[in-house]
Amino acid sequence: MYVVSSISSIIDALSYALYAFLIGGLLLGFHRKIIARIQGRPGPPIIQYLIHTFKFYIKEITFPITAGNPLYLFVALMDVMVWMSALFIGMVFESSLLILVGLYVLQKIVEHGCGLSSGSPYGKLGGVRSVFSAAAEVPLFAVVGIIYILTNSLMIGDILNYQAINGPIMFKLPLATFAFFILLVSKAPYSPFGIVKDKCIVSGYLTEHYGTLESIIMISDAIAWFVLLWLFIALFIGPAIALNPILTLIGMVALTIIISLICAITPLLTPNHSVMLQILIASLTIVDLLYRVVH
Amino acid sequence: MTPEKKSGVISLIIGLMGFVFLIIYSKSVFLTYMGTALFTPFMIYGLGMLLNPNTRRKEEGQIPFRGW
Repeated sequence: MYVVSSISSIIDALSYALYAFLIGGLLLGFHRKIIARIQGRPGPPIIQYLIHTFKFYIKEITFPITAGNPLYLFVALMDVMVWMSALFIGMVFESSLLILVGLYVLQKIVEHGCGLSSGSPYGKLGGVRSVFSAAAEVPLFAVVGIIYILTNSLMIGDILNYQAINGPIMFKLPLATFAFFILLVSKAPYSPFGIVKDKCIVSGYLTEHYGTLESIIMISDAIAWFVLLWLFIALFIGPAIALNPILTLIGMVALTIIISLICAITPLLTPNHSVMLQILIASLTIVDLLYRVVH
Repeated sequence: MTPEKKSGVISLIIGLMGFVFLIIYSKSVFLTYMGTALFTPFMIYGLGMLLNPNTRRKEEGQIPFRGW
């Protein structure tokens, strides 16, 4: 009996992950297409991200002499573990927001691990810049605090219920919404805050992860994009959209278009400017949090 | 066997053992989902390494010679 239900749960879990990967991959392809059109280029087809993922999957890899195994290999696998867990905890079980924040912080370990385990100077620089860009996570903690003060819960299910009764949190907490939106922008490829994958350090922490390992990291990036967009919709727009698959897709496409516009028209910031801006947004959010604690 | 291929076979074994363990012993849906998240990457990597072409390297850690 357990065996049948376990197999059915595993198939469900894999289906969710495949769905998130395909939708996330298409959205990232769409993101690239919009950026290209705004810049006056035809751009690659929307399925290019998926094509790249499948192409790299069957490419030969070699372990560089300088690579520190098994970390070099394991961080790529850990990336998929982190985002698949985030997908299940957030979307499937509507569980604690704190676990999701913890998983998001684990993503940083993946970035450091990828960069530092490869032994490449570009990878190391990407890893070091990833430490700087941890500033993007500070607003996340403030957002979680503000949401807790408003809804008295950190369970995503409870937050959705709160919004079903009281309307979207977006209109009650505009600053927190903005801070979380900046987090989405920071995570997007070609974003002004994307100092970790700056082209002046080749591909940052991904430089020495190629072939199958790059494909695995691309799979997790697609799932991550899906999870972060879903989380934004669930936390700030509410169950009317987050619990309807078609409306969720429309919401994700709309968010991707807005983020692509920002990415297309803004240059990459230097690391110090990027961190300064993120700290500024974090400070504003923390002031908002303190104000709500006092009043 | 190259170290890359060996790591792929080991990952495949870990992934398969993990899934068999989940199917036989997991009594909670939550644990099954989390176990799937834990062991699927090993399967993905293992299968990917089996699909990879055979290496043309003569020695470990060196890319194949492709001419001047």
